[in-house]
Amino acid sequence: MNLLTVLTLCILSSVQLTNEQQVAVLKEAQSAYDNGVSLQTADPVAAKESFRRSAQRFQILVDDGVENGKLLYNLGNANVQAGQIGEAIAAYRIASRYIPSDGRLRGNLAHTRSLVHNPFEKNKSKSLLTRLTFWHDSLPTGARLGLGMICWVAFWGLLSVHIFISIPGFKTASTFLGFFAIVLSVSVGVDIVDQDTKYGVIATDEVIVRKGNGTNYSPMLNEPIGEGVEFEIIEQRPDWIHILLPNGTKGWVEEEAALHV
Amino acid sequence: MYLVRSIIFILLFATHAFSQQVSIQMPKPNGYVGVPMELVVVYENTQSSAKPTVPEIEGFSVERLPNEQTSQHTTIINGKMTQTSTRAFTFLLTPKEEGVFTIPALTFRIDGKGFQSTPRIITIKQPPTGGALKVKISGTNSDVYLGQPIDLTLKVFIEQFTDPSLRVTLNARDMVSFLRGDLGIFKDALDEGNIQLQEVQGKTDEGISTTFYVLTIRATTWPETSGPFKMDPVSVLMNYPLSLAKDRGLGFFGGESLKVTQSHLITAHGEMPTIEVISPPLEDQPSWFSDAVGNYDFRLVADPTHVKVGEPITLTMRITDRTMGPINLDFLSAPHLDRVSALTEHFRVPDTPLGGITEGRTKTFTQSIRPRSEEVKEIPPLPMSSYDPLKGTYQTVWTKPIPITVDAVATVSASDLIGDTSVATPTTLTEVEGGILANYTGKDILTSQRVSFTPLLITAIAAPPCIFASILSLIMYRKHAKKSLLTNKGRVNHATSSIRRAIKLHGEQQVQTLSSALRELQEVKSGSNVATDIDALLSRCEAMQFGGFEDETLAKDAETLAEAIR
Repeated sequence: MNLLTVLTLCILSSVQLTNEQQVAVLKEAQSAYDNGVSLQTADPVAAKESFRRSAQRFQILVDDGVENGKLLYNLGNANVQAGQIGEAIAAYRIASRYIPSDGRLRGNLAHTRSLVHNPFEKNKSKSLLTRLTFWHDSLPTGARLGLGMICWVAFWGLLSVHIFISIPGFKTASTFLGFFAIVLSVSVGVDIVDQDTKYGVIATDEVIVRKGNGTNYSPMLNEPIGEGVEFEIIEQRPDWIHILLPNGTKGWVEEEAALHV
Repeated sequence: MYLVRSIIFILLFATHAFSQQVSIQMPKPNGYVGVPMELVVVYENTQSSAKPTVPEIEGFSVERLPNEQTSQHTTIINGKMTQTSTRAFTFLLTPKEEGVFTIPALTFRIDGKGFQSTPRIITIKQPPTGGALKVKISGTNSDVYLGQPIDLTLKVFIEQFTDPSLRVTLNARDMVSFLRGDLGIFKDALDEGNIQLQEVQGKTDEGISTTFYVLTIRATTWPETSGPFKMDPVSVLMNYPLSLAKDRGLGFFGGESLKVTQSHLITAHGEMPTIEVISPPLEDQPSWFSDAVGNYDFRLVADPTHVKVGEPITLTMRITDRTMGPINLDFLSAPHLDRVSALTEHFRVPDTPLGGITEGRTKTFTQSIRPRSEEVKEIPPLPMSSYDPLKGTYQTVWTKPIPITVDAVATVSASDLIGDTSVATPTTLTEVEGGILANYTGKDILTSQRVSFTPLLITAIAAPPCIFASILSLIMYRKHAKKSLLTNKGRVNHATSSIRRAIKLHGEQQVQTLSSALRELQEVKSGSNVATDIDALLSRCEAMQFGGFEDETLAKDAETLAEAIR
């Protein structure tokens, strides 16, 4: 099928791509990326255009419902090469939900964060809860779900067997299994509920953080914040988001200037 | 009575005879050789299905169109309904030669009646020739340089048309609306409305003074190669009108408009003016010249300006056209920087052609250069040359030097690789931080990893506790059943010992004890095959207790049954 037709279909309607069409779009995206890499030295402007085209193709797949860590990583790469730092960080952050321990992802996210102009100094002190739940950010949701299911099944299996025969250390084993099953299921549940709602990235340059949800409110900071600044979402109102910046400053930004991660 | 019937019959007959009509629409009094004219015969309220015929007419060839047009009308006036049906037949009369001809009185017979038309005199002339339409293309008078625009003007002359019978002259817009054809390079200009319409006096090919409408379209193009300028031919076609008719408008208020009843197709072709596209002279041509013609401004930006040896510096070149009028920067190339020795001496410069992005009158190119050594302190002034056709000379604009800082990097010499020194020093390789790592490939990246509460997941979570609850329920049930069994056994034992004790008793006391023991057995064994035996023994107890009968074997039989149950 003609790729242009596929893309037009995607833009004009919410038609789901077939597997064949997804493969075609992925091929096009990678081809545009490779073309951008080859042009980087001789014609950087044309290279950026090619990377932008690649990012659009990867984004089509994501919009089609393919939420894959590696795909989002590629999308982040294309965006960062195209100079779209905000979009790149957003893509990497979403990718880290699926492949949090991936070395390439960590490296590229760190590099992209280093490109942010005037980044905010992050509060490095960690709460006890954050320290205790380190595994929540280190393990992918799918892995935590798998481990939780294993603990859950083992817990009930142990209880069932114990009815018939006496098991040494039954109490300790069943308590641990039950505890891990509940903790892991809570962790997965938090992920599912919190998806797309908790964090964000500034996607355009020079965004003014205001004291309220309207352009009539005074700026909160002397300087506008730059593309790629990450924040926590406190509240959402029509067209505006109440954000918490890494340095602890709270303020409002227009929703169209930000991306959810 | 007879008289009244006769009057009604005569009136009806008269009405019927009056409603039958044959009408003939004759062609116009003027026509052209070879252009068919219509003659229409209309039968109104006729019974017969016969079709009319037209005889041979001098000066014309006659042909009847195969289809007939039928219609029916119903009119109600003062409560009286009248129905009218018509059939129309069209004949095409094509004049064969020039002259004055007469269509004689034509007779048509239908339903036993004859209808006759009046004769019509028609003057036939030769149709207008191609002289009514002319096309002229003019362009830039002198030769142009490659990169310069060529202005072209297309003029279409259309002879004014006046219908002699209606005495109506069509205006310029109406006449232009009959035009079609391949306007080639002028099509875009026509679509953009870059046209002009005017009325001029002129002469036809036969030397007759007449009025012409002139449609003027102006277009600009840029030659792509040097040599004679070539362009797609321009052909204009026109359905030139020969006669008009008034067309009754539709709608409640009616109204009239004009329609073309006869026309013929005429064509005209535009001859391209000879224009030679020439290249700038080779004399005094700079080596970095990239065929730019005109007058340009050249700006340069370098980023970053602090690099290590071999690292890229992006040069952004902005070339802005400083002339007036239309421009097309599609063919404008960046200067060949790889031929600027002052630059290539200190920098590595790729020789690949650059794309560039056009925005208004400015075209932006980017190119990466890499310093060859740490001694480089600046990017030298860079030139951009263009040929000025007005002055006939090359003009060169130079940028200002851009200071840069180049740091040295550790290099590995050939001797290090060969290892000619006696003592080999271990090399420490350090991973460079930063930069982007490569993409992932493979089809597995199209597998969605999103976790959501699917029915399968909910089932998987709910299944283990459900299974456990089922096992637990089963065990509890079995325990309960066992306990119930043990209780029944105790009661049977109790009843048996009561019966044994009753054997030793007499009279009322014996009967009561037996009866009580048998009732206990009846509760335990209800529904079993011994229930009937228990019932029979209980009946014997009641007979002894209330009927006064003596039954010496009752206690013994009860004991036998109790033993059997145990």
